[in-house]
Amino acid sequence: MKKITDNVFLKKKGKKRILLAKNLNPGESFFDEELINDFREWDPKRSKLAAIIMKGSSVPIKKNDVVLYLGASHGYTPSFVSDIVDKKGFVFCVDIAPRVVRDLVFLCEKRENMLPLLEDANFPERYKDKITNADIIYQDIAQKNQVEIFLKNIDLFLKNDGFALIAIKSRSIDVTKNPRFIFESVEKELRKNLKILDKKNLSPFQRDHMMFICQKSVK
Amino acid sequence: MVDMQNLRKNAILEAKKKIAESVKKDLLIIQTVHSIDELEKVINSLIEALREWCGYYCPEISMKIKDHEKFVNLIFENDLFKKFDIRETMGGNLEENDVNAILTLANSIKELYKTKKLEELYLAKEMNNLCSNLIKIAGPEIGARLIKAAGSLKKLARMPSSTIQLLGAEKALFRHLKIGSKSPKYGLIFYHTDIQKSKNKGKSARQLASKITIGVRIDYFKNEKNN
Repeated sequence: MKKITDNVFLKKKGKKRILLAKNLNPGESFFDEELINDFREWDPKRSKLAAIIMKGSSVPIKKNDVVLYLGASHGYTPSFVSDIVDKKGFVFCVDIAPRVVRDLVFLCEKRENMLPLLEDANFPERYKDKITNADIIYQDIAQKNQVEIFLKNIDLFLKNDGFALIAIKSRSIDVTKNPRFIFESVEKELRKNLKILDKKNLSPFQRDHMMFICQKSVK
Repeated sequence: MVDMQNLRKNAILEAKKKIAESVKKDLLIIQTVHSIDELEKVINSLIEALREWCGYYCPEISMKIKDHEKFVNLIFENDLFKKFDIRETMGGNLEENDVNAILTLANSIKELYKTKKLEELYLAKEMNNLCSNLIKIAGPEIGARLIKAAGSLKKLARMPSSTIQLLGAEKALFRHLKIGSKSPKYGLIFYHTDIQKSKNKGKSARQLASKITIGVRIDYFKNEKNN
């Protein structure tokens, strides 16, 4: 087993490689994921964060980090972030859809280092009194103005030298344009405000998706 | 030092409250329509199985009665062979408990038909309460499916009529946008009787969609005003 980051390991299972996270609730499965001893299997086809790890990127999320997760959805990836940051870390989960936050509430009741926020990430002022500043901001929101949302939240909540990860779905920005063109213009806009540490196309795990790992550069 | 557990407790309470408040009539209507469509699929599946099974008892009946609902009701009749004037049947010699097994399935299907009818009545009533103008133009079935396609009455009310015209034709629409193939002229509103009867379906679809838009907006903002 090879350690990828805190509480995350890569294991060879026959010809395949699988990603495992140390389960904060040992023995409990939340999304029908396979449990292997005290670990949960992390599927890169379901989680973009797992996908970028499988593509070889070094992910800056560590134990004890406070993470602001925008676009938490049902909570699959956030649950693994919760495993990484462990008991002393925390994950603030934000999503706009009530149906999906309902599932998130059930998850957060079982995980003491997670809390749910039924909020629109486009209006961060609305939840600024419900969260603390963060070491990491992770965003997976399929909206046309996803970069604007990202930068707004980084400005308000990300600590200096903090890391920010964003998954870009080119189809959400413009379904008619070539994805490569969209990724280039996104990169240009990110570069104006942030230091880009890494970028990876998430193929074959996701189609027309790219993830950027950035750092807040203090001027 | 911020008390994280306090933040967490409050957040969970607030999320629960907001989620409860988000449950509105249009969401229930969407679930009802979904259930009706699923029942249709399931009923058709089971009827096929029933007909096959009946084929070993009395295949002539299955041939004679093409209407599924009639078929399910009629195979309970006593003196089936006499009533339908069947002298030489290709059906085998079935014992009483074999026939009862078939009738048990038929009973379940009958119940499913009843459920579907009740849901359709409930749907029509709730649609009338929620959006009377929409159903005057599109009818409860198409109206409800438009709300389902949009996701909520609020989203439907905010759509331009060109989008409403094409709800349900997403595959053709995105193919047109990406590759440049011909644009679709109608989505699920194609099934409206006015479109079905029309000699120029594209034009009728455009006109119907614009009237639907007006109706939906009146319904949505009238509700907003009262709330």
